[in-house]
Amino acid sequence: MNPVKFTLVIGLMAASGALPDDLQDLSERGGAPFKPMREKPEQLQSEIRDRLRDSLTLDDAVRIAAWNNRDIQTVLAEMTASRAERRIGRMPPNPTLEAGIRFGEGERRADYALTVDLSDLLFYPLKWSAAGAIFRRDKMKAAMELRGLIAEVKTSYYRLQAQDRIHGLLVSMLENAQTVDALSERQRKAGNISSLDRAVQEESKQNATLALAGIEIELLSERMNFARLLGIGASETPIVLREDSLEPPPGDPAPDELIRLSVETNPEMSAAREDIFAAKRASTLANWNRLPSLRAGVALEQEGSKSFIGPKVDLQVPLDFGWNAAAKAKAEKQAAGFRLASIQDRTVGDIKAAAARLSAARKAIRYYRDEIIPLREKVVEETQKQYNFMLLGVYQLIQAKQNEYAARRGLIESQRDYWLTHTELERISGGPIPHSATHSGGAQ
Amino acid sequence: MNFRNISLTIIFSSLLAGAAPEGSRLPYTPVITPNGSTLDFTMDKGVKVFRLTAEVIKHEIGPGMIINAWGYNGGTPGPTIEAIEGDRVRILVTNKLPEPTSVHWHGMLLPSGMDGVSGLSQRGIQPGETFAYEFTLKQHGTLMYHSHGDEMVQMGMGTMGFFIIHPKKATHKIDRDYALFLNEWFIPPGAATPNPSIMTDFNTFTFNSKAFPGTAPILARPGERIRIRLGNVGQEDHPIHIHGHQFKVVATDGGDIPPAAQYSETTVLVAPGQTRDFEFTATAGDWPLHCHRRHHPMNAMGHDFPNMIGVSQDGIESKIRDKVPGYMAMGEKGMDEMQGMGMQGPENTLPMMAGDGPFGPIGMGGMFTIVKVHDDIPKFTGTADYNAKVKSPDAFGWYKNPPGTIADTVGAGLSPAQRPVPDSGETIYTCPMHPEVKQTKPGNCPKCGMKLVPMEKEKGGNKTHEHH
Repeated sequence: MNPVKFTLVIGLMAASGALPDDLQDLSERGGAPFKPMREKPEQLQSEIRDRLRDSLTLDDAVRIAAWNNRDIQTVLAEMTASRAERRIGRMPPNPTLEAGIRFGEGERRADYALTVDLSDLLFYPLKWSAAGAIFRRDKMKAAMELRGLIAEVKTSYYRLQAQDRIHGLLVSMLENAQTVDALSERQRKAGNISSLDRAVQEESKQNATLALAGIEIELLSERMNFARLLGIGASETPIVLREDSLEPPPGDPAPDELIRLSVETNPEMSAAREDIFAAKRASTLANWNRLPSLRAGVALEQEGSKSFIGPKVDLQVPLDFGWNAAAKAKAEKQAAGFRLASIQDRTVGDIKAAAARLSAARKAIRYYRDEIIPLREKVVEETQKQYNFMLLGVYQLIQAKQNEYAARRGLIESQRDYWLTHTELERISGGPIPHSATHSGGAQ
Repeated sequence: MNFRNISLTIIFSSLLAGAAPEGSRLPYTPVITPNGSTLDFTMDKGVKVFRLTAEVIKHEIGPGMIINAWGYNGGTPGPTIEAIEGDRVRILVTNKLPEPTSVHWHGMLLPSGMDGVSGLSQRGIQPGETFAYEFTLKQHGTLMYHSHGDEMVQMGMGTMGFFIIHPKKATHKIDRDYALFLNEWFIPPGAATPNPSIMTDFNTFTFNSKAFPGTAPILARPGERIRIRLGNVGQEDHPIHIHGHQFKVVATDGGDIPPAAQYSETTVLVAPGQTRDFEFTATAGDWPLHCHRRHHPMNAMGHDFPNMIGVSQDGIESKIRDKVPGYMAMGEKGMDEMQGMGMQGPENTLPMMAGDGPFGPIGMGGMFTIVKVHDDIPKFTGTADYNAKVKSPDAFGWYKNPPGTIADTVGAGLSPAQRPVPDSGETIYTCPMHPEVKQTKPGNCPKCGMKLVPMEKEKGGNKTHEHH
């Protein structure tokens, strides 16, 4: 990190009131090196513009979104509020100062008392602990939201990458269709084909035009979405993605490994665990709160030149012994437990389903890359040879090439599906997928 | 022991002629089967014994194109059987095909049980079995033999041959006697096994199971009396036409045609199941003999090939080549330009038009052969000698036309395309697509943008290098 950036980050941290360890934790759990900001410093905007000038990598996109996305900044602001709440929760109960003055018969009488709620003081460690758990839960929820947003950025990036490449293929396919259309028009003018044959070729061109228009609309829409996720105006700077390979890594992690990882790092599960912890504390507190509230302190009474001092005790005369509050706290503790179990079940199911889709996408990639595309290329090559001997015509030759392009599109779509599923799996499992612990699943 | 040449007549002839050639030792002019063979026989107590083996074979149907065929004794058509009217013959047929077969003696007058129809006149010859057919030849003429068990498949794969019965006494002398079997096949381009299920859409047409330029020429010397026997057990009828001659059909599979019923013509239609013999006196020259159905003297061509006659591909060809780099526009000015382009076709497939003559590409295929009538062609010395020496169209060179008898550009000697390029030591570059484009520097064709290739220097002109 260069000194300017380092200074900037520290300055931003200080400005936001975030503690460095909190930020680091959130960064790791959120999956992005974000910077909480109250306002956009010029240096940061300048750096973002610099990055946008070059072709954008996925890491660049995630980084810019982490710095600049409005929703992420909202989450960070909410985190600051949560931290303040925690501080409030950590403060010991305030003592109460009572004072009174009375006049009569030429005399003045004053009463003073300083008391403290002993119940609050007694339960302070429990409340302090519960407030800490709630803060940690909020932090996990923030991390979860961040993961969701980062996943959106990655999804949009992969979609754009794929659409960009498919767009290139569809342009080639349209060019072929236009060539065929022009050729058939000349054939028609020469009197060699019927208007029916001519119309068939013309329709092919129109279909190709329509297909290209469709992808262009998708591309435009996705570009706007991507710009929004990065926190920049769609027309501010044209975004060019770097032409990285969409090939998957050598292998994918086993679902069991992902489930284990998820139990450890998934922010949603961590938040649910903190919820349980806080609910337990709240339940304990509710049980204790069944005792009548007791305030104790010292009282001073001045009457003329006389002073009287002595202890003061206020004891609440309970009509409600806190049964209902205790029952509510107990139910909330149970609900928190069920919630965690539900999240675990859903996460395990989602991981298994996504892992299966990942494996299927990998197989589709291999199928397109190693089987279909080479076969379609072979078909073009052999059609060319048969064209050379006038066994097949130019239209069949071009159709063979169109079929090859269609196979290439299939490969790109499979690669896109792989990375979209991969992103989803990261989001579900709660962290980056450790490809060091991957297995090929027989579909490499 | 081979008794082929030891009939009494033959012995008598041999005694008279000493070591005379085959043609002079036989009581008839032996039949030449171009690209084929003649079947030997042995004698067994006065019976001529022939051996046929029906089997799966590899057959070169044209230069470099090998097909999986079924035939007899290693070939298709099977070897020509020759005998003399009155002979008692026994034909031992061994079946090495994967299914039962039988052999029908087409046009033969014989006992019903020898007719060779599986299930009707005999039981089928099972794989590995050998059957004997024995009968006396009661007629003479050009007959045929072919499979009559699962005949659609077996004939479609090539199981047929000639059975020539010579008369006891010839009415006139024939200098050379040829037999050509007409047939058609469907062999998918790039494949090797004929599809016998095809009924009409054939793509390979053959004389003696050879497609031009694989057909061996018919040789003659000027003034010789030539007989050509045609047989057809295929699916289509073939109008066989000879250039530069009139002929008379002298016989059918039903026997001789009386001279009074013969008339001159230049084309004879041979329907499936028919044979026709025609005779003519050879006139000097190189003369095509071919089926006159337009697609039959051609090799495979796609019926879906779009008609590009008169359709310029200027500006389009380069766009297609951007996507398919090997693309070349074809067909705008006809299909002649395909010749000499040397483009690579599918494996095991003959180009639609092929063959080189003394003036350039002949541009034919399929049922096409050349009748070469040259003074310097040796006298007929026997079928074995012919088969050894005559295998391709350019055998025995080309006819040397007398001065002033070659069509040419009005008022000039050679046409611009034929004019030799002066040998200045420079390499001449030309376009494989547009041979009229010639220049002394490499570059691209101004018409289609293709890279120009060096021309190969040869006597009397230049030839474009083959390229792929």
